[in-house]
Amino acid sequence: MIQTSEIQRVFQENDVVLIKSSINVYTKSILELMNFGLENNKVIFYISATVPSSVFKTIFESTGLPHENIYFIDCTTYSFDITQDPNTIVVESPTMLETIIIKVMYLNKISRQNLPDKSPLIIVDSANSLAIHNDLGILSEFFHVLITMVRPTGSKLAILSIMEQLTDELSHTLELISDTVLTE
Amino acid sequence: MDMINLERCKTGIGELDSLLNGGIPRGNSVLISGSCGTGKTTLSLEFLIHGVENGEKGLYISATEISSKVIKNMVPFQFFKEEYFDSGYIKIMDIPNIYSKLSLHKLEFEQEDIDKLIDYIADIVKNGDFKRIAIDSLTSICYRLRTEEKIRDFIIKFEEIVNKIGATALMVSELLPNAKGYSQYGVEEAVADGIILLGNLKRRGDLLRTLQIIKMRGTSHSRAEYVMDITPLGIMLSPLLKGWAVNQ
Repeated sequence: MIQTSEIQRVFQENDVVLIKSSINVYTKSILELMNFGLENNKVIFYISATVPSSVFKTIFESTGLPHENIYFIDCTTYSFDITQDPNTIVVESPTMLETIIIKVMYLNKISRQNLPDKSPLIIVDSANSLAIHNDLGILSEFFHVLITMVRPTGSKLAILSIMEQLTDELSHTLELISDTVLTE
Repeated sequence: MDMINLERCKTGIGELDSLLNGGIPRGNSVLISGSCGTGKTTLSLEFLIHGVENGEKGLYISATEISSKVIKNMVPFQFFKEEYFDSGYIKIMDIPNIYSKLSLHKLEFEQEDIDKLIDYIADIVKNGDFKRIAIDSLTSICYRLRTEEKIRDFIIKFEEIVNKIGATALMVSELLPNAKGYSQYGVEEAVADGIILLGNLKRRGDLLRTLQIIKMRGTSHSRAEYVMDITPLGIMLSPLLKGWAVNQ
């Protein structure tokens, strides 16, 4: 499992980190990543394309992880179960990649207004899930545009991937756009 | 680097101002073209509200919605300030009231009716010291003008007023969903100083709003299509990802 200290070390030197995690410890890796964010005075923008944000909220509540500074861009709930949670923005489909980029930039502006002392940690969960809905060409373009837009804002970006389900092609692309790779 | 160093009127929509190399050249009258639901009214009102933040008074001439409804629809936006409307920094005028005031009851306006309407708008703009004007929509006025000559005459006279007083205007042009041009009568797009096209892009079941600057006199500008989203902070843009093999 990837430890918080390891995450801390790679983010000291890099802005965009590809995290390759085994499926067995995937959720634990996410929680370590969250821990890193919260311990380092970050506001977290969590792009959830794997499971609905409500699942994470349940986990946070059961683990006691403070989540008031965690904002979700939820691409899996669709519009069937839109809650009035002020920390969740629903994007209707994981194919609406430009909308995801805009929501990240929107949260960036909001957090600069409301939490000026906190810098954002953006977590994409996961490259594998986005690849189910999008072909490799558009996905590469999405990550490239997202990185280009968030880098000047001082944000850190973690791209999560499930190692066992990563194709060689997707893996090469993600390595190309990331500053470094953290493998579990 | 810009071609001509003209004074700019910042729309206040950060990404759009960047695409325009700093904003709309002051004095321009710009067509905001699009079919229903593309964000024409939101863009126009956001332009006026950001103008007040820069000390520029705004005039909104509405033909499609009554003023109370226009204001109510803007309440969810963070940039909305009711006091801008209450204090008269932004004035909303309903076109039916203007027609009624000027006794313009005919379905088709004659030249003298056009002159009367233009003179009235000119007086309001000058006396109110309005620096930003939005007509929502120009199409509805054109409906009463009918012929290309009258439409051309109205728009040119309106543009003269705007340019003379150093204001900047947005003129909403309503399009049918599959329209080919940028205006319903064809004349509007030829006479306008600029055209910003708002669209709906259907892609694998998703309906994305798009924005593209077709022309803007007096400045170099982007000509690429962008995805537009209406957020509580107002309009935001992202580059349109081109990986999709679509013939858009």
